[in-house]
Amino acid sequence: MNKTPSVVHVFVFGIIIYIIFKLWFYPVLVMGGDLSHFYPEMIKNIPLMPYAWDFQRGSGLGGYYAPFLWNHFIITVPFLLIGKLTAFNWTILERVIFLYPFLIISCCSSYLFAKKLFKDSAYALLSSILYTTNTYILMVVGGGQMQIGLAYAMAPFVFLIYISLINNFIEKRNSTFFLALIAGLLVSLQVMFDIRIAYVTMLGIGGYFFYGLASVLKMKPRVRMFPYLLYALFIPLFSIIFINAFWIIPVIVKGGNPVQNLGDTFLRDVAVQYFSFAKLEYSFSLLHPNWFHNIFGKVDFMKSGFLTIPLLAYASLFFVNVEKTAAKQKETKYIVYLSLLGIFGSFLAKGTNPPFGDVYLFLFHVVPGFQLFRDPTKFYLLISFSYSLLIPLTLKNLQTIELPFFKKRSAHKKIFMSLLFSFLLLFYLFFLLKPAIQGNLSGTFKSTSLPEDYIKLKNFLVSDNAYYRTLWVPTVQKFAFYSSNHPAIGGEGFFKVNSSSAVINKLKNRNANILLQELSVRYVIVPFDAEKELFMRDRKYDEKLYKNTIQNLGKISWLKPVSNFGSIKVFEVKNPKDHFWFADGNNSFKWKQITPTHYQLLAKNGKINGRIIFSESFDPNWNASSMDIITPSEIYNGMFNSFRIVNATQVDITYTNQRWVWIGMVISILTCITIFILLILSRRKEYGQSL
Amino acid sequence: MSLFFLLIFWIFIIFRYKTGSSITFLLVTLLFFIYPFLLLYSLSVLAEQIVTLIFLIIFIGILQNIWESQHQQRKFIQFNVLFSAVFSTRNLSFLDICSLFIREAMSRISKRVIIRKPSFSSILTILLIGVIMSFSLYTVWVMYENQRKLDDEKKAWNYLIPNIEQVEPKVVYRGTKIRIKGKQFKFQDLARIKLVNQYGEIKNVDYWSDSKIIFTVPLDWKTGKISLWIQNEDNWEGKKHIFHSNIATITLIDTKSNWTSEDYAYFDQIKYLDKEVLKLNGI
Repeated sequence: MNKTPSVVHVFVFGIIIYIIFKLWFYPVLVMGGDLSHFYPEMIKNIPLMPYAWDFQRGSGLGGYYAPFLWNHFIITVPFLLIGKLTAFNWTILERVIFLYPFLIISCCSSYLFAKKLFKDSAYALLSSILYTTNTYILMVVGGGQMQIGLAYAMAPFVFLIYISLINNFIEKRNSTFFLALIAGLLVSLQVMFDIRIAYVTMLGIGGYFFYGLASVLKMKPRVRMFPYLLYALFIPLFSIIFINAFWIIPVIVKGGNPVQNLGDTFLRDVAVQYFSFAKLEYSFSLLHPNWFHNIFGKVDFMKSGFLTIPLLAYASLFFVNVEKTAAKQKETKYIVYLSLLGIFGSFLAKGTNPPFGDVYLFLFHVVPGFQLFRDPTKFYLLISFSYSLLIPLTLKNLQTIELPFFKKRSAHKKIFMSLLFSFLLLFYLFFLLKPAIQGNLSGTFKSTSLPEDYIKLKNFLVSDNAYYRTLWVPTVQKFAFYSSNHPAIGGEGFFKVNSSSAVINKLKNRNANILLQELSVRYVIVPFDAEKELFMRDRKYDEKLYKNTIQNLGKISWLKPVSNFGSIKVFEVKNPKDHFWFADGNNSFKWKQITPTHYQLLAKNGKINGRIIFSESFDPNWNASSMDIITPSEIYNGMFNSFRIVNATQVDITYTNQRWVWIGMVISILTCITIFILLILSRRKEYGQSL
Repeated sequence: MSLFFLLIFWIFIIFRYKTGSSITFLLVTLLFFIYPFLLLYSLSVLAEQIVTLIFLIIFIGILQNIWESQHQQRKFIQFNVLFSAVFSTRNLSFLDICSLFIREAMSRISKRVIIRKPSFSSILTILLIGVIMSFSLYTVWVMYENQRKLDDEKKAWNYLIPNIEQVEPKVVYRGTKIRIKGKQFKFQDLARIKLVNQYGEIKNVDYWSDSKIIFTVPLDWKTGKISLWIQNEDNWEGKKHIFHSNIATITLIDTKSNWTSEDYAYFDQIKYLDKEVLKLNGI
């Protein structure tokens, strides 16, 4: 039993991680799916404090953002601070903020949990490899979903602390309160990374919670159930709610279910059925349905080799109930718990696919919070957590089998078993990691470069201080520059269509010129499709579409081509309106942005009189106040805010939902301070031995 | 639904013969090993159902395990007992193990069933076995039917895949007429089917029928090995599918270069060429 990892084991572990994630260790730009590119100017534009309005939401017209603020302090603020304090470019920043933290947290947390369970570093390292390099997480981080990746990485930490907490309570140790606070803090952090993964983690922990509850109910006196509920449920739960109050309070008070914001179609049965990509054999085998091309919706063939994984994992069930020693019983308890977790995760991850597909639909409609799981693959977390521990448990137990031909020669047995171990590991790697080793994975596993044309365009836009928007046809490219002064509108999203030709048809409408002027759009941009993901026909890049788009836009008389951006084609719209403009009325005024939820209008000479249009998405929570008169926003042209102002020299336009964010912020800060004080005061007593 | 009858049958076995969870996991392991073979023989529907069965049986096994941990496990026949028996007994064959199981099962059955006045419960048990066996047979039949349907669908796809059976001549000069014989070439005017080589579509086709294509080797082709195949595009449920025939290879030789072994090969093949091909090329 190796308590500390040997150099050879660590070396092998490092080599495997390096081979799979090798590109992350070179100074090259990687991008994928949800991981876009940020210019230093864009980072400087990010606000330090959380705001309930975001200029890029609503397809570039601005929108209510409170339900999406959860990651503000964990991602946005470090991003802003590191970006501002250092001269790091995006290539380094994406590694410092996303890629390396994922690797470090995932390896460490899974290693620590396994170490507590196995008391053997070699198996713990194996567990860590399985957890960090399975097809699910490779597809997630490959697709640039780094926040999900980071929440996933934290999950074993949360399991470790929570299980320690329950065990400590059952075994009547002293550090339960300390662990309850830590558990609350960790889950709060996980919620800040991704609420769905935190939800799945809590579902997994729920099983152990009920086991703890059953154990406590057997104890005497039964009154101990109440402190158990306090430590295992209420302290962590309230910590999570209060720490995240800065976004939970606005959501509770003003509504804004993040899923409902996406539209009713996302909540229909058809949508859930569509997103149930994984069949049972995929989820059961811990095989991501999109492995390894990672094209959304393209389910690859089932690879029978992956069925070795559940075979190895559930083979651990052969070794339960063999001995009645305390250690063995403890191990049995974990094997049964982890197996149930694996079965439960496989069942949910397959979504509406058979068997019992209707159960998922029922849960989706009935269980609170389940609406977040339109895409059921998030439940792969439970499977990967379960299998990453069960497989090493099987291998460990295989070593204990007394084979008759090795009975007298234990040294031979060990050599045989270690060979078996190596073979199984290589077998696993061969099937699981072959595309990764060969460099066939896409997204963040492929290097890319920032085209010069985009830098030119960015410099051009940054140099212009006037307010205007850019309209991207068909949609905003990942290298696109946007800021609060130059928000970017995605054509497909804005016009609610799904092709560049449909966007052009909308632009050919009689009033399209006036619409773009009112939207403050100054430039219509056809991006250079560097990532080959915008101009697609049958999931393949088609240059004809790109050329046709340019040609057809060129035929629109009121669009004037602007040269000097190479493959990026830019057309100018003459006389776009400002961010604030008069629908009727006179006199001129100037405006400035105090915060993203507060603007100030000052009359240049005389007083402001008339109806002022604020070209952001209409929201009745925008108010204009001058002196003591508060004017609510009225809808203009079906989409903008407008305010009727009478004889004002100064007008303050504010977003009223912001005050709930401030109230929530105060609660969050006070909770954090209280928890840290309590943590310092409470004594930490060997909580780690409880597993 | 058919799977659940198999599952109920297994639950019945557990209750009737008190088999332990490890025996359940042994069954799971055996089913795991069956899966790749089913895929190998293109029985994908069966393979999917086997995975579902594995999944459900594992779940049953875990529940069994929890039950056993709360009760005396010696009451159940466990795998480790069998495992150690196998390895501690010399010259014990697989048949011996099976016979041990069957003898044990039969003795248990005989104790219950062969009695002077059959009790109500024993009659019920026999009836239940009968029903479950019938359903199991029905399950196998349904699985077979599903597989047959899938095979029929595959046959429907095969109808769209062209097949080249013969290409003559195989060594050619520029200007030689080549005849391709085979199946499901369809008709060229459908536009979605085309004759192609590694450089692109071959457009100068002289004759095209469902079983025969004749074309002339263009003067601008490069010498060397040339791969020929037929490509058929079809729309199925709004998706475009491209079907390729098998690839046939011909060798194009130059008329202006020195006399080589390939020129000998050209004249050698003439002895064996079909009359139609000879006539097409004026020989």
